[in-house]
Amino acid sequence: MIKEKGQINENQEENLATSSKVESPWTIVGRRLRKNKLAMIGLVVITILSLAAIFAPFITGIPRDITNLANTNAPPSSEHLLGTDSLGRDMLTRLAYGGRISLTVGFVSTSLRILIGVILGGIAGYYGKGIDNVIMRIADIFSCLPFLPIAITFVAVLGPSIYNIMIVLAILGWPGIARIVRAEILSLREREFMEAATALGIGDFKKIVSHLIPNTMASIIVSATTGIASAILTESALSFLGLGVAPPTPTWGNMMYDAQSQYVLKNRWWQWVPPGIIIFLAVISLNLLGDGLRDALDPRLKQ
Amino acid sequence: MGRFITRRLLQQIPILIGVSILVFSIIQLAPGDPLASYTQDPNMTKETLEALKEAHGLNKSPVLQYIDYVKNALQGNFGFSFQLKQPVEKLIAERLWPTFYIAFGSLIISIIIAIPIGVISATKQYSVFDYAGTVFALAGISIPAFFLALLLKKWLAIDLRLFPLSGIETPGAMYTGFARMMDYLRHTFIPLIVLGLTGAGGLMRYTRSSMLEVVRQDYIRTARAKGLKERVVIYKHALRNALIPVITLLGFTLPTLFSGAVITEIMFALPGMGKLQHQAVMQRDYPVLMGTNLFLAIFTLLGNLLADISYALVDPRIRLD
Repeated sequence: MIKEKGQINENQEENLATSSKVESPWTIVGRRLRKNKLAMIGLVVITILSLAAIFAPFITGIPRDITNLANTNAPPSSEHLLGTDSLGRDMLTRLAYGGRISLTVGFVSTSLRILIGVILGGIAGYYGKGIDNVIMRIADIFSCLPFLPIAITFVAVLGPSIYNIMIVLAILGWPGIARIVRAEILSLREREFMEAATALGIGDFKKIVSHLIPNTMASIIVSATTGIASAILTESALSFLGLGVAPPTPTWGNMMYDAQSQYVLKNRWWQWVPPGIIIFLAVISLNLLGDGLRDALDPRLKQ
Repeated sequence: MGRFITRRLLQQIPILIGVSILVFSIIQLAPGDPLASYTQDPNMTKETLEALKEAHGLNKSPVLQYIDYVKNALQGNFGFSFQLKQPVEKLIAERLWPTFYIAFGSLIISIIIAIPIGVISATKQYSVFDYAGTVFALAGISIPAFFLALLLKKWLAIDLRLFPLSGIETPGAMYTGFARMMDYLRHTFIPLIVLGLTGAGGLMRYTRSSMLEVVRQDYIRTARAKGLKERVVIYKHALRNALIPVITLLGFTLPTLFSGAVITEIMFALPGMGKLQHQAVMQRDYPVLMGTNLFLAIFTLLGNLLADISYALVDPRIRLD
């Protein structure tokens, strides 16, 4: 509706502007979000972690994969703030670099998931009937796949690489998004502004892309935020088991691989506690942000 | 009700076919074939290998192989593990109960923790208890299960020596009856707590919001207005209705638990489906992988079905549609 503003004659538009300052929906959401302390803490933490990942080379200045066999398994010291791993590599450096992979996997796999989910959910919701039925039954099938076992199988079969992890997370996760988008479009389709769009002779594609999808953005953003969090959890679990991203590329999960040995678990806390805490922090921050966004986007849901 | 269940059961059949095709396709993507391990065997001649391939139908097209697989599976034959030299259905049957035990056990722990806290949180909204409960739930959702497992293993099993590090029973102890049960419980305490706690978070949030929604309803106001005790209002009138959506969630949680058990089974060397799956992945034992994935998918379907049916049982309105 706001889009059609250009068609209101200039006089009226001026009147509107002077009588009351019209805030865009996103400004309102931003203001509500800023009031939510927990969500802001989440945003700050996830920003810090992202910045640390982006500027990883500058955190310690130590190269990522440089091994030092004279200084393996060293406890934290002023030289290595979080100690070294079994190959003498600096833990703090690898934690920062690990963030690059873990956060990228979370972000890219969620984007892929949303892309598939929005396209299929959009088509299903808009066209309805047979197409809807076919797409949603396929979604049912995909959501019946047991998540971790299939992820493990997929990665084992195609090889443990960051790309295969992203692909499997997207393949297993799209039905959730498709259902949300479909449900929203089903109800939006019947609204007056869509009737107006039809009257103006706008084509199906444009109707879906520029009128329907933008109206589902709120729900998509919320589930994307928590989706990134669960993607990070899955990637770290797979990598921890040695079934995810393969070394020497560090991820928060595969850095903890050594802790499967009882000796490391008992004697070298610095090799598994910090990555675990970082994963926890990243995930809880994204969840806090997701909750905050949900409340800000739809205050009716706030409890 | 009978018609409802029959219809739901029939609806699962195409989904099951779809799932089996998908799982089969993923396994087909694998390089090599189930006999790959035999090629390294010096005693294996090319002719025997060909004969084995022929006997197991590995020379056929993937579509025909799939049809063969389904035909055999319907007769209870899920293939043969060339690595473990045993039929897949036998391997799975042996590993079934530890997985069920872990999944159901941790579900019960989740329920015991989550529902009371969720209800109290909702009745005392914005209190210190509510705040603490919310934080606890969020932490439960956000902590990686394997990290919590490592922490508890270090603290309870290594430092305090309260529980064994791994395994499902003391090897060679030959306990019977109650002693054996306690032995199992001691061995699986940490994995049960890990999955119970991580599962409780979502359940608690769900219970809380469902309860909050119900206590705002008119009939709760009516119950209060006619002078019922608050306890009766909450636990008799509100709780029953609030638990309806929670029951559905439980059905959906069960499959997650089956697949989540993979991590704890590997970490604590519990001889369940997850451990079998892990072994199969490591040894590239594709018939076993196909079998475990298919069975876990069937559990997922059954979990969803259970959710549907229990929902219909507690809420008659559902049966109408």
